[in-house]
Amino acid sequence: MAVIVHSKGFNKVRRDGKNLRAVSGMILQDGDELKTSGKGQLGIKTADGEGSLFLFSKTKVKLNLSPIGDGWEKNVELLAGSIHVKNTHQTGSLSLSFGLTNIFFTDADLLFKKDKGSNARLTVFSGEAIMYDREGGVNKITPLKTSYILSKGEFISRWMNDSDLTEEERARIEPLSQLPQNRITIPLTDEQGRVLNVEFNW
Amino acid sequence: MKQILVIFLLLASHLTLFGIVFEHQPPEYYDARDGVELALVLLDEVESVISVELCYGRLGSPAYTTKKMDNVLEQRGYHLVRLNSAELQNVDIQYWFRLELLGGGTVLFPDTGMDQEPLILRVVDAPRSDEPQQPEDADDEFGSGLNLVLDDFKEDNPGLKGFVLLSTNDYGPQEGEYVLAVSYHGIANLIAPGSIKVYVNDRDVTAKAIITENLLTYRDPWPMNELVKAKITAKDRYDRSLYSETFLTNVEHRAKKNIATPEGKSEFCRRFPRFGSGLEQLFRLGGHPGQLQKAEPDPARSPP
Repeated sequence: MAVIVHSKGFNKVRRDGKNLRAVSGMILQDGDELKTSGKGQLGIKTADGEGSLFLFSKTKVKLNLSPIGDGWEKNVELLAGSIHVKNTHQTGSLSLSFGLTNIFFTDADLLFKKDKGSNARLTVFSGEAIMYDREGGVNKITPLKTSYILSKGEFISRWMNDSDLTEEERARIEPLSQLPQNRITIPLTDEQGRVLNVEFNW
Repeated sequence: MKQILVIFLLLASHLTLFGIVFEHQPPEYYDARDGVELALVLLDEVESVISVELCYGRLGSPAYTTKKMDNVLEQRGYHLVRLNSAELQNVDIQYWFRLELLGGGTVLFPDTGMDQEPLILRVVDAPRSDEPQQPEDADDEFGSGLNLVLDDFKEDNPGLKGFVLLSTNDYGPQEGEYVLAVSYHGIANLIAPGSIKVYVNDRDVTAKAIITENLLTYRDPWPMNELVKAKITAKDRYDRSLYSETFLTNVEHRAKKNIATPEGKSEFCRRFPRFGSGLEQLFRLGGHPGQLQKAEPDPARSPP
């Protein structure tokens, strides 16, 4: 079970074959499909308070939420667009699905988006995520890495960079790109002979 | 009538066993947070008892533990033992006393060897008298800011951590409408069904809230205040009060977007240029809406 805590634009929830307007405060159920409009955004939190999900514009996901023991088994299936996902607890797990690939993590902050064609891209900002493909292959994505999930079940990883984020995503996430990639500190002296360290960033 | 009943009960608690007269008043329950003290007072033949032990164990279990009782008033035979929460383990217990006599004999009370039932001490099933009760009408409580602060620092209330605000401002301030979403997934099994109440800005809005087994939501499309405070109260299965901290949420009013900027222009003017020029003049004059008609007409817009 989850709840919409932020809604911007005209967004929809498809439940039991019916389209409902997604509004803040709406309680979501297992099997709900959420779709954001061209300028829409949705913020969702799970009932255990551990997971948060942010849907950017033109995104479609399906929620699979079922209680298991003391916690919840939370799965988000990405059908289109991009989502920013956080899970803040060490014990509760959250999984993402894309096609036949499943991604598991417990305490992580990541961006998951569908690229053109049938590819997807996963960027991990903190924590780590573990991807399983249908062949049983395992790929661990460490922080600040972006992994491409190709349609054939292959993975390609590299260091993340600013090109991984759209303007809309950057406005919300603001990852380590806040830190300058290049930095140099040069000691200079002023007219009175005092040494001043000047830092140049670009 | 009540005095007679009290006298009768006191007489009943004075027991005579092998010439030893002692008194024990069994407590009805214990609170796991506080532990419990059990006392046995020898009223006669004090010198014939060497020591007293408490035998206790989980209710219904043959296993038991012993703990020596302190003779705090030797001349009067006042024996006392304290069981802490770790020893009690938050379960119903059964107990009896074992008295070591001077001649080497042993006396049990109640005598479990004679098929007497041990005494039973149950974990708390009634509110403590010194525990402050949550008022039924939380309006009074909201009226006192001091009470709110004090309440928030009560550590023995599982509701303080158990009620988790989901509708935080981490997606930015709420715009126009107020949405409250609170999870109580971790304490859902403690909460008595139907006992949850939702208070928003001192008002009971429980009837308008959607309350499920592990979270609740409330939505006000036209909140009156920019700073909205909310509080959740509930009862646990022992009728004790659970209550959340006070959740404060910033709500940005829709009308706020139309406030003039320091440059003298407003979002309203930009979106509705037909009315904008008059408003801009008003803002340049520094007047109020009543002065709008007194502003100089715009020659460019005046009819021919």
